[in-house]
Amino acid sequence: MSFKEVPTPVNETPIKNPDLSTDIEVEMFALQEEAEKLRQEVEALETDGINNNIDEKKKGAIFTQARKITYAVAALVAIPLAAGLFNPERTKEIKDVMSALVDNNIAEMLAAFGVILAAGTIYVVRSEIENNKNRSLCRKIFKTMVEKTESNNWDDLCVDLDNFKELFEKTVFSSYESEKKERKYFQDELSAVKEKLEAQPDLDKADTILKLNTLISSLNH
Amino acid sequence: MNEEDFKMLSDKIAAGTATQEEILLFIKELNATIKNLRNNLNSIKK
Repeated sequence: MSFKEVPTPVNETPIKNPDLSTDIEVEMFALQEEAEKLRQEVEALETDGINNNIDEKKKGAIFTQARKITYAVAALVAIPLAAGLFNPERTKEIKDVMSALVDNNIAEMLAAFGVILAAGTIYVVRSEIENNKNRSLCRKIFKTMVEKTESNNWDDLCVDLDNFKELFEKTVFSSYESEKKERKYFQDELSAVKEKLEAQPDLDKADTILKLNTLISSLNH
Repeated sequence: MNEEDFKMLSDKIAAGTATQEEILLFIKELNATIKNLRNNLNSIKK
């Protein structure tokens, strides 16, 4: 049997994969918060505070979960969005966890695991989390707002703009260049939203246009 | 996701060959794993 090559239609726009970086970033912050809670709990969990008669099934589940997290540590370092947030220099502690897992020793495993978490493998400075979280949420709110207006959903635009403005003002940027780039991006997108809103008939839009104008010009600074 | 699949996905990410979709799936799965581990650890406290 032979296969015929199907020619690509000339005028067909190729389907572009959606950019998931914002979703990844938001999920990453949730992950960091969860990891921080785990770190605190493991730290507070004294080895002699563990019930020795652990159900074998539960014990197996704990080992599997700990192994999965251990695999993940090396992978997280390779994700550009996580770069700088995770410490890749903890290979010794990771090996300790792996060997405790091989020995099937839950107390040793937890002790080594606690060292990994406390040592900063998946621990982020709180202020850095907050700054990045604001930036990330800011983009998320913005993205949702633009998507809504693209599908002609103008409800709550004023509220969305207020939420965006509040978060943007709290956001700390890593450099002047990145702030400039971000401001330009939001300005361009907001101008496009404004243009589309102005073209809408039968909408009471004076207040929203005024809000948009104020926000667009405030992004100049 | 079972351990073997998760390990494969982690290796792919570590090698830098994963797609954004796979990275998102990986982080969601990791989040769920940490939550489950926390629940299990809480249940084995004396």
